[in-house]
Amino acid sequence: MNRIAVVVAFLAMALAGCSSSGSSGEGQNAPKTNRAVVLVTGGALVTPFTTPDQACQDGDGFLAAGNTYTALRSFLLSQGKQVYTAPAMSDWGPVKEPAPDSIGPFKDCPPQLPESLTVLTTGDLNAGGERLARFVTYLHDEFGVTDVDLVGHSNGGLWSRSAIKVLKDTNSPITVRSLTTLGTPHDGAIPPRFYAGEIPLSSCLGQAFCEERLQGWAELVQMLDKGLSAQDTVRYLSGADGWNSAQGSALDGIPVTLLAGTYFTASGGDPVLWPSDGTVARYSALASDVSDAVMPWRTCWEAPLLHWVGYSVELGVPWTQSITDNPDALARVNRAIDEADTALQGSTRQGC
Amino acid sequence: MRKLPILALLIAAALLAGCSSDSDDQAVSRAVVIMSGGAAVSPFTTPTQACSSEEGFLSAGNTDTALRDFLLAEGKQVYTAPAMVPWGPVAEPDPTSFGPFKDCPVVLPESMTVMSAGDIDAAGEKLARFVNYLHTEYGVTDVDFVGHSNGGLFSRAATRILKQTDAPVTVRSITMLGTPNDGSVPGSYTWGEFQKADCRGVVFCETFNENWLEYAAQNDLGLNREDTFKYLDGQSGWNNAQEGYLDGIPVTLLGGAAFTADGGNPTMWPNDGITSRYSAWAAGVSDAVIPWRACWVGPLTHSIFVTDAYNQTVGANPPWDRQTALTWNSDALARVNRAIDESDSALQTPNREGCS
Repeated sequence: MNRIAVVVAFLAMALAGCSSSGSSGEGQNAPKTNRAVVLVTGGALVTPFTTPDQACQDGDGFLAAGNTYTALRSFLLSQGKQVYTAPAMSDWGPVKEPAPDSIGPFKDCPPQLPESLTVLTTGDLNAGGERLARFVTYLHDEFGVTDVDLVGHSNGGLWSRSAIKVLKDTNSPITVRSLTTLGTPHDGAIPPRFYAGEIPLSSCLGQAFCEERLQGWAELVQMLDKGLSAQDTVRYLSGADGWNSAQGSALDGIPVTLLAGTYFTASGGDPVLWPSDGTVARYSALASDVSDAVMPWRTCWEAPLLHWVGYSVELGVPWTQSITDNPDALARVNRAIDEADTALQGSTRQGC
Repeated sequence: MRKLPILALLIAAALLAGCSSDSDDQAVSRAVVIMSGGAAVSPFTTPTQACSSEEGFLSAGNTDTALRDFLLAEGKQVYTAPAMVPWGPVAEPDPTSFGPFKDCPVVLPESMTVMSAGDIDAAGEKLARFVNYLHTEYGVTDVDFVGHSNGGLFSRAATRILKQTDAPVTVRSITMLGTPNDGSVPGSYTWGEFQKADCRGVVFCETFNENWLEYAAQNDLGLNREDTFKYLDGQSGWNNAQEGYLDGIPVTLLGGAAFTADGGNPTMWPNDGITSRYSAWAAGVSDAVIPWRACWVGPLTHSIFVTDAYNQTVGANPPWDRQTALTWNSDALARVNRAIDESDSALQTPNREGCS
């Protein structure tokens, strides 16, 4: 009503203007914790950006968050989590709707984000990590997220690890509370290792599903790959000069929960390759070659599950037989997030 | 009644002044950023600080030193971008290695250090972060990229990221020396796009590329696979994915043609030992992607490393000296300097001068 009120309002506006452009003032006015789960999809897959309130069309054969994370997103939302899916595209550019006759397509999504925030799922691990770190920073700036629990399926676990390193190396205002990976090739994946000449066809021990994956991989690489396949190998990931070692202390203070699928077994099979989920061996999903120096705290879980729903379709088994859609696996992810704050007080390598 | 509003306005004015400090128009501070190429290890240097110039050492490493010295002498503000193999901050190379450096003043963290044997876009992210660092730490507002070999592709990737993220730095020009815009000879050789027969019996070509296969199997971390027609060219290639990001930026392309073969495949010959003239001139890249380019060629090798490899392979007598290399040759350095000087008026002059 009077001039004072107007001036005070003006002052408030000036202050608001300042605080939004400045660094989020650490000492004064420490921001409230705003925790979110971020779901990161795997190699060659396409996942739309969704928020806790906004997703794509649900029903009529379409999946609200695509073929990797619709089930997990719904489950975690029902458990009261704030869930975002990270945009991921198999080719250059922002997310595009997949063909309606593909496995688990999506359409009519909320506006998608630019390429610079979108993981290229056929490309380099660290390039994807940079994009994912930028996406998490966007969640901070746009939605006020301060703490994230990262969940990665397949190579999404490696992009998550790379993003964690970028966030820490750049003193990001975001805290990573936990990392959960589902069928992540921490020590390489079986078909890419075959393609790179690291393992022979005979490591399939005559199993047809395995041999078809290995022999069909060259064609997939020719069609889609932009460098990722060569990185899902022991040569790239392991050893003193490997990518795993180069992650240094990025996972210090972050509990890591490792889920492995063991649908395929072979008696007498090489334990580095068997059992497996069809793409990633248990050995690799449990990061067996990754030292405690690099992954200081881990817990492990396994069940006779497939790598992804495409294999369920191929084998004519329910989608719940896939690690991304199995109720026990979803519950294990939820528990990992719930227990993240106390996990480090428990002993490492339980179930490993 | 009077005092309070005045006080409040004063406070508000102070607050607003505080706000505007990072959005105010600053004076232009223009710098040259030199980015070295594939598998190169190069130190971070500033216009006033570099590494030891003791006998046997190169003050900015074996790619950047002559360029840096020349451009500094021409009055440019020159920074060299840090580059390392494999991951991590720059480590001093073995003093017995080719063209080593030591005693560098500042070592920057991994987050702004290009891993030069890996993915082009990952390198672009690191280089873009380095340029943003030059902005916050040294007040740089405008950069001229000078990229040697894959450093030209790293610069193009960084330019895209700087534009996509609305960075406070303007890219004024990009100059490339021996950049494999359409793949490198050894990259294409490794992946079967060129065969031994394409060497047309030129001994250096056969030897260098056969040795490369062993190097790549041991040491490459993804870059060699990207230096191919398959990755870079074609409808869904990396080059086309860059469309729009070089708009308004003049691009000057320097090629080396030290090696020739009668009747050789024109996408491979002549070449500088690693990059063909065809590829250095981005002959397979459309005007939609590179709207303005100028081209230059000299009878030069890719680098002093290639010159050295040539001397050792064929026992050249007298041996070729550093002047035979794109990165050390006086005419090439002068052309780089001219490209920077002319960048503001370049777009008003005809496109593709010297490109055929």
